[in-house]
Amino acid sequence: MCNFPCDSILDEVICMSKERKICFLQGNEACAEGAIAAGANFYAGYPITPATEIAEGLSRLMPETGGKFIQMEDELSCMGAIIGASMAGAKSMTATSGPGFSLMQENIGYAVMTETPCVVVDVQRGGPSTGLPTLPAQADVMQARWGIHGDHAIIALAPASVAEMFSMTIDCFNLAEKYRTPVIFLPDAIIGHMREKVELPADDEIQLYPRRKPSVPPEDFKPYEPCEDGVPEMANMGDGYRFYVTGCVHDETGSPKMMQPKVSDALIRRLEGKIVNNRDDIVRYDEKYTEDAEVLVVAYGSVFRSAQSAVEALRKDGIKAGYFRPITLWPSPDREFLRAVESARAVVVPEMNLGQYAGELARILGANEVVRKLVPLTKVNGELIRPDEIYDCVKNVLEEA
Amino acid sequence: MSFDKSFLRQSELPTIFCPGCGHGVVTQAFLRTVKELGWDKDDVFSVSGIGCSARIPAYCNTSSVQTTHGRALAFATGMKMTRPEKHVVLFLGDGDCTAIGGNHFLHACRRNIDMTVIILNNYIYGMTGGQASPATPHGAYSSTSPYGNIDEQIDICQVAVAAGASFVARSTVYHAQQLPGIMKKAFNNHGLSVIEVLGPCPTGFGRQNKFRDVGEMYDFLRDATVSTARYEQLSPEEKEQKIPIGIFRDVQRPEYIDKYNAMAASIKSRKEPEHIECKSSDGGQIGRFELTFAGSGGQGLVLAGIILSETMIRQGKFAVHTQSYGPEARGGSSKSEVVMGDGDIDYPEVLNADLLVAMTQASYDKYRKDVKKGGLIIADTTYVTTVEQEDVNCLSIPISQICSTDLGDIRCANIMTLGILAGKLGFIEYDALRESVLARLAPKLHDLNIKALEAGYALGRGTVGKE
Ligand SMILES: Cc1ncc(C[n+]2csc(CCOP(=O)(O)OP(=O)(O)O)c2C)c(N)n1
Ligand code: SF4
Repeated sequence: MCNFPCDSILDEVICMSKERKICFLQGNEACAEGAIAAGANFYAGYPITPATEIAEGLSRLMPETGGKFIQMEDELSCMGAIIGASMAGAKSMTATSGPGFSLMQENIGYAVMTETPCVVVDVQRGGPSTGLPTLPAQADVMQARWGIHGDHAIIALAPASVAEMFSMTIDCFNLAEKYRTPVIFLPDAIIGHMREKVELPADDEIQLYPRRKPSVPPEDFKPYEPCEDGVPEMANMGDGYRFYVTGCVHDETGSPKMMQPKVSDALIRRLEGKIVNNRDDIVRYDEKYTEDAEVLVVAYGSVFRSAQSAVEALRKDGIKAGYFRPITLWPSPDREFLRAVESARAVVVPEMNLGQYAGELARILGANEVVRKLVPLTKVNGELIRPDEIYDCVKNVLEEA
Repeated sequence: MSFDKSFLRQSELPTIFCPGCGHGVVTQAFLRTVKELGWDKDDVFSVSGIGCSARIPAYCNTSSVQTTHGRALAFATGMKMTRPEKHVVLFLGDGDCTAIGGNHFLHACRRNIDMTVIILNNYIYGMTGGQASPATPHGAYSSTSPYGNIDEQIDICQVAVAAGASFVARSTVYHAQQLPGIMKKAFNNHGLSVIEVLGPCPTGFGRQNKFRDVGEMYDFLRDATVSTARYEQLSPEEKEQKIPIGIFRDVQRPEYIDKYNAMAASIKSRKEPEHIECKSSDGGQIGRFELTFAGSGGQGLVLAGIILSETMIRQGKFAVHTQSYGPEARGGSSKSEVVMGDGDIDYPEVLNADLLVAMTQASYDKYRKDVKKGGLIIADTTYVTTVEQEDVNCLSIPISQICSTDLGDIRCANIMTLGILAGKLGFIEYDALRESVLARLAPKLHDLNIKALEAGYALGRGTVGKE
C-alpha cells in the first residue's frame, strides 16, 4: 500500500542565500535562478530566441551548484534527456520557444504517460513556424493544452512579472513533483526579456515538494499504484526498485497491457483525474473589482499588466470594470471565473493570439449555461496589447450593451 | 555457459519475438555478460526506443526503460549524467538508431559518454511489418520497396567511427559465442561503445527476400561475413561482396562526464545575482516616467538603461527595462527603454516618452514622434544633425564628441549621458547613480567613466548646449 504523505513540504533549499535580496534581473535570468532555488540539478537545452538566456544562465549555474547542464542536439533530445534525468532522480528542466516546443511534444506525452516530473519552459514568440522570432505572442496556449496526442490533462502556468519568473519556476517544480507530471511554464517574450526589480526570498522562505519516494520495500512496490490523491509513488532508477517503464498503456506494475480494455480505461482516466480531481490545489488565479464589475477583463501573462493598467484607469473614470487573471491556464480556473463573471454583463479577453483562451472561456460559459457577451481583443503583430486598447474596448462594449 | 534465470523479468515472458528472431540471442548474450561481470542488477539501466528490439529491456531484470522511437540515447544521456556510477546499455533497432534516431546517435558518439549502444540490425523495420530501413541493402525487397530498394545502405560502424565513438564493433547472431567477449570489451570501455549485431528477422525481411527459412539466414550471416583482418586483404571487388566483422575501433578518448566534472571542480563559487542596496524612497513622487535611449549597437544604450533602472531601485523606486532584440538590434539600431515609477509598474514599455535620448539621426527621426507634448529630447549632436523642435524641448549636446576630445574615449558617451540625465532631472540622485555605474562596470573602467559621469552631470545641471 502506498502511504506517501501527499501534502508534505520537506526538501531543503540549497544554493540560495540566507537573506532576502533585492535584484534587478531579466525574466529569463530569474527563471534560471528560480530553477536553482527549486533544487533543479539537470538542465538540457537548445538555443532559441527568446528563451536562450535560460540555457545560458544555467550553463553557468548548474556546474556552480553541483548540477548538470548539457546542450543537446535538438529539442526532441532535450525533452528526452530531462525525462531520463528525472527518472534517475534529478529535478530537471528545459526551456524553448514555439518551434522547439513543437518538437518536444512527443516526449512531453511520454512524460505524461510515464508520470515523470519535469518542467518545460516555453517563452512564447509569434508563430506558426519561425514566425516572429524575437517578438512576443501568447499563441502556444492551446499547444500547451493539446500539443501532445492522446487524452490527458496538463498543468500550465503563465507568469506576468520577473518576480514570478522566479517564484513560479519553483511552483512549477513543486507541482511537477506533487502530481508526477510535466508542467508547462508559459511566459511570453516580454516577460522573458524584460528586466525588473525582484525581491529574492531567503532560503527558509522557499518551500519545496520532495520526490514521492516509495514508502514500501521493493518487494511490495508497484510503480503505478496510486496513492489516495491518484498519484503513485516514484522510485528513482537504480535505487533498488527494479521495474519496467514504458510509454505503452501499462498496469500498476508497469507491465504493458495493450489488450486489456479495463487497464487502458483505468489508466487514462486516472492520468487525467489526478490533475482534474486535484484542481482546487493546483488552480491559481487573481482578481480585482469582480464583486461589482460590469465588464470583466480576463488576461494573463504580459497582457495582464496592460489589463491591470486599463482597469485601474477605467475605475478612476467611474466605469465598473474588473479583472480576472488565470495564473494556471491549465487546468483553467473555471469555477473561479464563473464566480468572477457573475456581476458582469460582458467579458473582454485581450490576448496576443486569435482568441485561444477566449475559446476556453466560451467553453466554460457554455458548459455552465451562463450567457455573457464575450469579446476577444486579439493582436498577432508582435506588439503588446496597450492599456488604451483595452480601455477603449471596454468602453465600446459598455456603450453597445 | 550457464544462464541465470533471475536475470530475466519473468512477469514479461514469453517474449514477443517470432520463432527464429535474432533479438532473443542478443538478449541472452547480454544477460550472460552482465552475470559474468558480476554486475548488480540494480546498477544496470537497460534503455531502448520503439521496435521489436526495443522490447529487450522489458525482459531484463534491471532498471528498464522503453522510451520513444529513436530517442533512447537522449533519455539515456540524462540518466547517465544523473547517475554516472550506473551501467547504461541501450538496445536499438537499425531503424530506431539510424533513421529517426540518427542525429542522437551521431551526437552520442561525438560526446563519448560512457554508455554502450547495442544495435540489432535486422535490415528492416520489424515491428511495423517489414518496411525498408536505412540498413536495408540496395535492391532488397520490403513492404515499402516492392520493386527493390533504390536507397543505399548505411554502414553503421563507419558512421560511429567517424562520429567519434571510442569502441566500435560488429558481430552477428550466428557468431553468438563471440558476443559476450565483445560486450565485455565494450562495457569496459570508458566512453561510448557501439556494437552492431546483424541478425535475422525471418518475418519482416526473410520472407520478402526469398530466404526459405531461418537456417538460410544464418547461412547468409556465416558466408557473407569475414573478420576485419581478412577483409583488409580482399580486393575491392571482393570487398563489395563481404561484410567485415570484428572491432573497428578501440581507443581511449576523454569521456564527457569526466570532462564535465573536471570543469565543475574548477569553479570556485556560485555567482549570486547582484544584490542592490536600496534605501526607502524619500517620498518625492515621480509618477510614471518613460525614457527611451535610441541609437546604434555599440553605443552602450542597453547598459545605460540597466544602470539607470538600478539607480532608481537603489533610490527605493521601481523600474522596468526593455530593449530591442534580434533583427532590429543586429541591423545596427538599438533601443533601450526604462519605465520608472513609485510602485510596481504595469505596462512595461514606453507609450509616450517623457524623455528621448537620441544618439543617431536615424533614431532621432524614428522615435521623435513618440515623445509626449512638453517632453524632452536629448540629442547627441555628434550624430544628430537635424533637430526639429515642435512641441517638445530639446537639449543638444555633442556628447560623443566631448567624450572623445576631452576624455579620449568615445565609449563613455553612454555614461556621460546618464550624468546629463541626473543633472537635468531632479529625481535621479547622483550618488545612487555613481554607485550603480561602479557596480556594473569592471574596475579598470571606473576612472574614465566616473570622469564622464561627472562631466555629464555638470553639463546637465548647467544645461550647457542649446535648449
Ligand atoms: C515517432 C514514431 N514513428 C513511427 C513509429 C512506428 N514504429 C514503431 S517500431 C518502428 C520500426 C522499428 O524498426 P527497428 O528500429 O529497425 O526495430 P525492429 O523492430 O526491427 O527491431 C516504427 C517505424 C513510432 N512508434 N514512433
Ligand atoms: S518481426 Fe522480425 S524483428 Fe520482430 S520479432 Fe519478428 S522476427 Fe523479430
